[in-house]
Amino acid sequence: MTKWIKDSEEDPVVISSRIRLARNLKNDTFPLYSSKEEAANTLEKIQEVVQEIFSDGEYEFYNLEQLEPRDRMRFMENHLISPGLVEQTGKSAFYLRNDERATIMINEEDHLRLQTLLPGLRLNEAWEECEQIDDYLESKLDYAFHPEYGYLTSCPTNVGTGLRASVMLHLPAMTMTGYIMGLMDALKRIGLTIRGIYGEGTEAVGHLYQISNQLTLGETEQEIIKKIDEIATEVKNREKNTRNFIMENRKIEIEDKVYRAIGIVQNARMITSNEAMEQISIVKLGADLGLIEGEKYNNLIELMMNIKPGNIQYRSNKTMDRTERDVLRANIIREYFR
Amino acid sequence: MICESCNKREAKIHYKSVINGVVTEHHLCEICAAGYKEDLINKFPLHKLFSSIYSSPDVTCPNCGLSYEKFRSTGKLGCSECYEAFGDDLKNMIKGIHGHTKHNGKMPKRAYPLLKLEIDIDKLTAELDRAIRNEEYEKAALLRDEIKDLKIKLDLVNRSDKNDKMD
Repeated sequence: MTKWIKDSEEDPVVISSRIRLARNLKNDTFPLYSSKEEAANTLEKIQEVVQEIFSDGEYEFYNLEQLEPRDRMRFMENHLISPGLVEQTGKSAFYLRNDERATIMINEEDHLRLQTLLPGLRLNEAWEECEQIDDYLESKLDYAFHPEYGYLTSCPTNVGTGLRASVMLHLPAMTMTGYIMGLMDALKRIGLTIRGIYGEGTEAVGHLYQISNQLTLGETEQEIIKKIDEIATEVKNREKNTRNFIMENRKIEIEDKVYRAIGIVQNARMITSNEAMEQISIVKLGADLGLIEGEKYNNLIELMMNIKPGNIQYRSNKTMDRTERDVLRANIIREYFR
Repeated sequence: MICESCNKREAKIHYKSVINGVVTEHHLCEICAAGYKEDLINKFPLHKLFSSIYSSPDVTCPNCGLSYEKFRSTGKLGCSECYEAFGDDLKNMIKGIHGHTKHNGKMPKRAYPLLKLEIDIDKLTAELDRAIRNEEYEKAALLRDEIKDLKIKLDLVNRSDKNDKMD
């Protein structure tokens, strides 16, 4: 399963910190417009450099075209590759570092997308690691860089630093009380955005949100990271205060929710991934509030990832239809909470 | 076959659902099947907003052959040279999106050693001015030496550049 998520319980609210850098090679056509030959040529250039720089076995190479669709889904569900990389199957490939904390994506929307992903609130550390990989690659590759605009990208919304810094947060109390709406407006005003990771519209499945920078040009990388770091700390404290408020004023309601959720996860015979994420999220809240105790409540974010469709099929090593998946998912969850 | 959810990507995941004895076939792409959300930026593309404000010049990038018209409809540039080819129109759009046109962050260390040195010298000179104003003379002396070293380096790089060109 996913290695990075293993330690994610070090902080009950901030699940993970991620840095992404968009880079392109000078003069090569960007992947969205390149022919298969041009894309293969770019890939080869990058592969040569990666093999030269990094020691054998430090990174594993995957070509998207050679992966089963369910494996592509699994990498995506675990946030190791982006949906955009999957969309470019046929041209795209990636290197995944052994500890699964760094990915070098090739021929996504940009020639290179470098990602580092760490558990908890550790944006600075993630930035340092990503910058190092960037420096290594730049020592051998001719990046597309403009003295005025900075790093050039396929989409003008990424130009400049090419940096997207983001944190994943579990915010059940702020969602239930509706505070999240106010937060959305406030963040927009300072160039940041908060949105659900899964689900449609404003709804966030499993109360999981991502805060990230919207703008990439003008500020330094350190300024962008500092802003998100401070906001994440603020939101984390707000979530904790809201939880305390709920415990003091609406304890019976929250207890009712938590125990109903336990009833579902311990008894369901069929469950969709969205419902499972919702219920496990509430069980996690119950554990974080101290309403329920036990070793098994320690890594529920990992369980939420593991019951997504790609992961379920990876575990059973076959492609399944929806009903089969819902039954298997319910079995896995019942077994987990037994 | 096209994904029934996004109507955009090719469907890769196929399954049947049975509701009240009625069998329905479903076809989804991997991204919709994994429950991923479309990025809001993609849903309400900023470039569409700005392209309605700014005019569209009849220009094509000499390197990759992308026309400005095509860029306007997709919002995605074709290569690094498009940034030069689309000139002020693109610059206005970038300013509209970010509120800035000047990058202040990291720079490629190998490809732009000169630029890096020049910016470092500017930063240190500003610090030196501050130090002198605040009468921190010891600090100022250190900064002055540092600037001198960088200027020597810059001069060396400049000269080797010229020699390269003469070769």
